Amino acid sequence: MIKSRYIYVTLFMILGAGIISCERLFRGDDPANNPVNDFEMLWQNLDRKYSLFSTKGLNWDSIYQVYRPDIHNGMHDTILFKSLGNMLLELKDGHTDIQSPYGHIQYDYTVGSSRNFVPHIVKVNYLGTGEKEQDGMLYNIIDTVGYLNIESFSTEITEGGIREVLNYFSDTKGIIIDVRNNSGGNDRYCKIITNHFFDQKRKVEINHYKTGPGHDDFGTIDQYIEPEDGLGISNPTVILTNRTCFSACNSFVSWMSSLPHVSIVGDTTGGGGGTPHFSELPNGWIYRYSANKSYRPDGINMDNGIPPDHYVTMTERDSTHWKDTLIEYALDLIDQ
Amino acid sequence: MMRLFLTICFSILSLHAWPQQDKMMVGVGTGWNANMILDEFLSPMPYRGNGYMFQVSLNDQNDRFYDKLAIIYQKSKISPDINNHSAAHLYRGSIDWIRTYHLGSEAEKWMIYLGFHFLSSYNASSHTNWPNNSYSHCLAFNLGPSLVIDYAPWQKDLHFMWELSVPVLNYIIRPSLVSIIPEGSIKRSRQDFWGFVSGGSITSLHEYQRIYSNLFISYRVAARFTARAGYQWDFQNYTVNNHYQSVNHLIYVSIYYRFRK
Repeated sequence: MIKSRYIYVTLFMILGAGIISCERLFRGDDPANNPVNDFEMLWQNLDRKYSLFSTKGLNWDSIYQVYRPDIHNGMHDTILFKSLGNMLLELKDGHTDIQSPYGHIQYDYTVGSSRNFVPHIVKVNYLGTGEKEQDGMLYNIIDTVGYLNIESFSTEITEGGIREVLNYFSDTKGIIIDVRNNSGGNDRYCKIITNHFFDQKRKVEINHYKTGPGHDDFGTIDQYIEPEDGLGISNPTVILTNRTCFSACNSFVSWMSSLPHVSIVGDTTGGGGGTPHFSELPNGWIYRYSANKSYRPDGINMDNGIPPDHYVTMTERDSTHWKDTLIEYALDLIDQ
Repeated sequence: MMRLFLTICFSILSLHAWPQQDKMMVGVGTGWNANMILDEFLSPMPYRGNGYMFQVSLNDQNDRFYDKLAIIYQKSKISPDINNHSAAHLYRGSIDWIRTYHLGSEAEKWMIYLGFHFLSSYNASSHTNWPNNSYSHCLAFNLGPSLVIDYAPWQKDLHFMWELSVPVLNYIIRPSLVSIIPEGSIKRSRQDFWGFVSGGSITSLHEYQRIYSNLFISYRVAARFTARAGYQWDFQNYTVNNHYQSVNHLIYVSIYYRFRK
């Protein structure tokens, strides 16, 4: 009798634990780590999730036909990396890139554009010795106009920090916000700044999010900026841009351009309207891709960049005379 | 459909007026967990790791029914089996209620209970390196049948117990394909809290599978105290848009206080 109890207890434990042995059956195997599977996983993930195929008029299946024949198990990692990188370069998207121990392959969205910015000219001739710094932003007053240089939206910009800068500009007749060479960062910091320039709730962007794996499966959500306890700045404001303004900076320029007292001066921004998502391959390489797309309220796709109100190019002559053509233009514009 | 689902949930919960228990116990427990998460919103690679858990539960059992309400919190650090420094924090919270009725009429050595469960779980992952898609989650509400087997071979104080639950009707909230906003919420252009809550989908076994197994030994150590040690296995698989799989192993100990002798 006692023996049968032990058997029952053992059977009982086996019964309960036995279901766990089916785990592999339910789960399947982990993704295989070989060049063919790495290629397939990258291609398939983008096929389902990349948001700009239609916008760019790309046939992703054709790109598969071009690159897939070169991929075979046993090929060297460096050649695989180059193949995958070249495939991503076909998308011509600064938010789509791949990193591995062999390097980083990313599309250069500034190719063929003028630099339009010489940082040391601004530093020496405009910011000068009175230069001030707050949350990574440099600022000063030039001829009764406030000048603010925001090099990046990656460094944290605080509410207190931007208030201090804008309060310093309270007696100026206008503000220049220089975002040339700002390649983006966090949208949240853009909102902290724009909040002080908006007088009312305005629709600034329409985000298209993928809702399914088809290349045109999108749902939309409108984005608004609603000023919350902002300074309500209505002075003439000029934003200086060049082709290197990208991603969050592109959004910043787009949002500010919706305001009547704001002018954009310089070149079309670099774009980068889609939020980049990260993913990885079984071999450990990490890649990014544009996971959504954004339109301005007037229907213009932000991925193509924001055109300026005034196209201005830095002249060689001004440059050799330590003058920044764009700042000079902005000062004149505010004077008018 | 959402209203129908909520109506079913509330109806079941309203049936559960906590009975006049003669053996109701409240317990606290802690333990160790091991997890596997495959969340294609974050990565196509499975992430594995382990961590700790805490549990508070109410339990009631007699020769008529077996009733359990458990609140469990778990945290662990997980990473893929590849060399690229990827890692994520995994947070799991669950409120599990199982209500079953004894198939026999008297207390016996073997007691088999059959009934239903209402499980709710929230699994959230936070990737340590990736800025825009660092956060993912799976919020699941499950209804379905439960089986409880109680075997007390030598004496009434020692019990070998097994709880098994397989949900058949579920409400799942997951990120959409490439946004943390649930798919249903995007389709309705809603980004607020209600949009988030109502943006999930009602599913059944064809899209979502879950198996919840809890095997434990219970021993009455004093007149009012019972100790338990157990192993819980929880498997979830959701196949819509971003494939989601979660395997959770728990080894735990707990101590229960009985309100009445």
